[in-house]
Amino acid sequence: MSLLARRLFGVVPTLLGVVVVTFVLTRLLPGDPAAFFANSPTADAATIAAIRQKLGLDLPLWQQFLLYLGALLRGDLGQSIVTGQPVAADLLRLLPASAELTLAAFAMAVLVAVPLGMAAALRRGSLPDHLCRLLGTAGVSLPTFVSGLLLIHLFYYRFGIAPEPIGRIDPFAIPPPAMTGFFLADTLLAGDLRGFAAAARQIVLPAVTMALFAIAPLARVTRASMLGVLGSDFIRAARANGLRRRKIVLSYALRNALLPIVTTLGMIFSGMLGANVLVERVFAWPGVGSYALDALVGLDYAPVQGFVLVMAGLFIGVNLLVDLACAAIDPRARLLSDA
Amino acid sequence: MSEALLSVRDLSVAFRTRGGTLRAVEGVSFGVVKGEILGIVGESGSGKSVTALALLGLLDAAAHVTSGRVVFGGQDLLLLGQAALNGLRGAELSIVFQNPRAALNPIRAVGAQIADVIARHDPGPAAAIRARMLDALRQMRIADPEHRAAALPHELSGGLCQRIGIAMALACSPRLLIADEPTTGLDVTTQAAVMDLLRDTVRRRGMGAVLITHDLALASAYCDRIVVMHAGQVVEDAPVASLFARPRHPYTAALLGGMPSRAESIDALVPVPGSPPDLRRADLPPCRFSERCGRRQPLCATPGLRLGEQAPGHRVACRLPL
Amino acid sequence: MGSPLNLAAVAMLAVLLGCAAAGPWLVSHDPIATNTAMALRPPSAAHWFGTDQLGRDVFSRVVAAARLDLAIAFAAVSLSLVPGAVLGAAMGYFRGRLDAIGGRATDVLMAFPLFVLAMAMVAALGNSVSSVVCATAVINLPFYIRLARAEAAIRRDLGYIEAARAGGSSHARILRVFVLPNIMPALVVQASVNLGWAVLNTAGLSFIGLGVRAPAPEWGIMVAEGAQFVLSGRWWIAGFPGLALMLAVLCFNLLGDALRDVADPRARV
Repeated sequence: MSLLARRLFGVVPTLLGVVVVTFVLTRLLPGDPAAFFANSPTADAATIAAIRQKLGLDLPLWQQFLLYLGALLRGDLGQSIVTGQPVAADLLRLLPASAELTLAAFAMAVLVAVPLGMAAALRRGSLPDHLCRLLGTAGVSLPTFVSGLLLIHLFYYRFGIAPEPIGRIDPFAIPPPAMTGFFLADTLLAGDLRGFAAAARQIVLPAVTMALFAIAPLARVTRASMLGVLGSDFIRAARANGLRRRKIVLSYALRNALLPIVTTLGMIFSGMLGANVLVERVFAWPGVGSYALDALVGLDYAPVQGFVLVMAGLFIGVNLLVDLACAAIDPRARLLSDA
Repeated sequence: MSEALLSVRDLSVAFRTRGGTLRAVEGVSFGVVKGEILGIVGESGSGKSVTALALLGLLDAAAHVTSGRVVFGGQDLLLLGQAALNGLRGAELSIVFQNPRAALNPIRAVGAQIADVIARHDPGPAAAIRARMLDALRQMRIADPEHRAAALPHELSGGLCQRIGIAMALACSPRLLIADEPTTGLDVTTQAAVMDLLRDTVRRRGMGAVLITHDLALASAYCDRIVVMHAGQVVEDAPVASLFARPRHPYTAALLGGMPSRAESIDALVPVPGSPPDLRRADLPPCRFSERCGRRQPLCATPGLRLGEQAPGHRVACRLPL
Repeated sequence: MGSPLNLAAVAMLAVLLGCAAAGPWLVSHDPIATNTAMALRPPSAAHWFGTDQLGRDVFSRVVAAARLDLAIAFAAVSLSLVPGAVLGAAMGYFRGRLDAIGGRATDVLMAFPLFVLAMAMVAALGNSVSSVVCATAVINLPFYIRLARAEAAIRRDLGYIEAARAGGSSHARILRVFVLPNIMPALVVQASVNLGWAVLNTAGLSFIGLGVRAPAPEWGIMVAEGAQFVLSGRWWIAGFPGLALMLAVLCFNLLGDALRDVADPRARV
């Protein structure tokens, strides 16, 4: 428990740095925010000045920062001009769509990449090994927006087995009663198998697109890490003691190889949060990435800031989880960082 | 004559390397009887560790056994399938490696690792396995075994790690123990304690043991018989007393001549002039020591060199023995 | 270095650089000249990669785009390599406060999903090509700082550097003469991989409408413009620039792998 507290405490400076960077970016953003709130670009100077004062834009920068920090602590990320809603509410409403997509892709990537990397390491020069090396180089070279379009071309246009790539659900269907916000989970909870199948059909292509780019680095790291561990003395000793191959591979080798794999998972998650924006654009997925992009195009900057902050916050949270997972896997890592 | 436990005949191992085939072990023969500790002594690269790994079927992919028979418990280990061999390893014949800490899984409690081996070969209820695991630790004179069993390798000293390694190797009461440089890296006091423990256990249980070392003094203190290896060949095989009283092979003689009264290793001294030949050469002479040997005659280049008995139990592979 | 894959990568690099240098003279059509009569034609002998919705020749545009994409990538990587190497080496060499502050700043940068940070920076700095270069440079900076710091920290206590210090060399001279040249190989490997990332990043940003503006030929924009036609089966408008993008990134990644083998043969997996 104290480990958790220590890690949480260690995150504070980074979090503060993230807030500072976001604040600085905010102040650099083009256009006077007051002019937007005045509803009309031709509003007279007095109106704009009044709004500036109301928004605190006439205060010294450090006071503005404190106000900004105070608002953040109250969960106030500002107001979106495009939707007219508080940004925090918008993000909260749209986050499940992005989270569902990201988690589905993440699960796919892990389920494919880790076994593939292990198979490659166990049988060097075999088919999985060549596949792993090919994927390792080709996969990271594939831009998500290109692979997404390729999948659409093949599975929607050419083979006609995928639904039209627009959003999470057929535009004429009624969304399931919101409980988790994840359509896959909500349809199951409502006992709606047909709805589940429809939601699954919609999510497959975007999730595969995102998974494709994550599989490459993950399989590569799994392979390298497993190879390193399999070549070590204690694996030979375990074989010399007659332990079964299954036990050696799954319990002795994999657990020792897991540390770099888990660390890579954190990096991949970061990449996925970025790729979200592109994949959501390609598949018209109504998530936070699409929301931020629409705002960006509409010169509506509060949602963009909110999006950046939430993404950074999520990523810091994931890194915290990765740290804790590493400590759980390897008692030595715990010892090192406690010292 | 006591009962033969292990008999190695004409064992050869080759490695595929970029520079060609490396004949690491060539025509090696020796035997171990019950209750005996056999020392295999040689410089690094003399093929002693490769021999041990070949016996257990643990050679890496680049190496393969090109000839020979390894008879243990009435069957040829080299002809045994992987599964059958795996069932013997750790149960009937065990090995202890050098660098004891590296030979242990770094993130699993040492007790659990010993329990893994026991559960593999003698499955039973968890409580019984745990009791046997603690007993194995106690036999290695490890104090407070309940507490130690929960420790991770990096929390234990090197000497303690080696005792854990030996406890693991002996947990299923094997008939033969191979110890490959078991005391390298340990300080002299710990080295003696570990070796005493090893010898006492082998004697008490009436098992056989092979001690692989580059330390002639260590071998002479703990072994009954010594096999001297040079460049992948056995050059001499004799009881300790006979070997030290009258070495017959020029290489052994040079080793003994250079040996100081204090225990030191061969590698640290390099008392023998010259260096062993490159084992990738296609034109290796029948006697791989001949190019370093001061007594070399044209006779030495004729093929068909074998170990010949010069005195009771004292065999040497030399055309012109001392 | 002589493996067929590495040779292919070098050949690809030569083609890319050739397109970037001589692109406009190599192509048969003006990359921005529109011809609505010829719009949306599939690949043919006259238009190898077909034509887009405005009748522009896709092949000419793909070739001409190499210049802009590579220029942005090279500019961004040099902009992050040089300061990153100097700053990182100084942090590793001097340790102390500089190291603490620099390390913290790097952590903060790395706490952002990098593409999201790049997006926000381009939005903040203004929607222009120079903003894309800046943003790409900043998101690559932490990698060079960390690498240079680690390499310099290993070397600072080595004999020859201590000897130089004892011999009265100034810190600046030691950094310039002994530390930086020795960490260069590792940085060059990183730079090659980062060139690939930079191309991806640039194209990704222009795909969502940041940075490069139409009608300039650029792979990301071309994919974005062609995206809507993929649904109706006109794959070539987005497909060929996508392929070019992929090959460019692949080329830099392969070069990175090859250079790594040369720089550190032990790390070969």
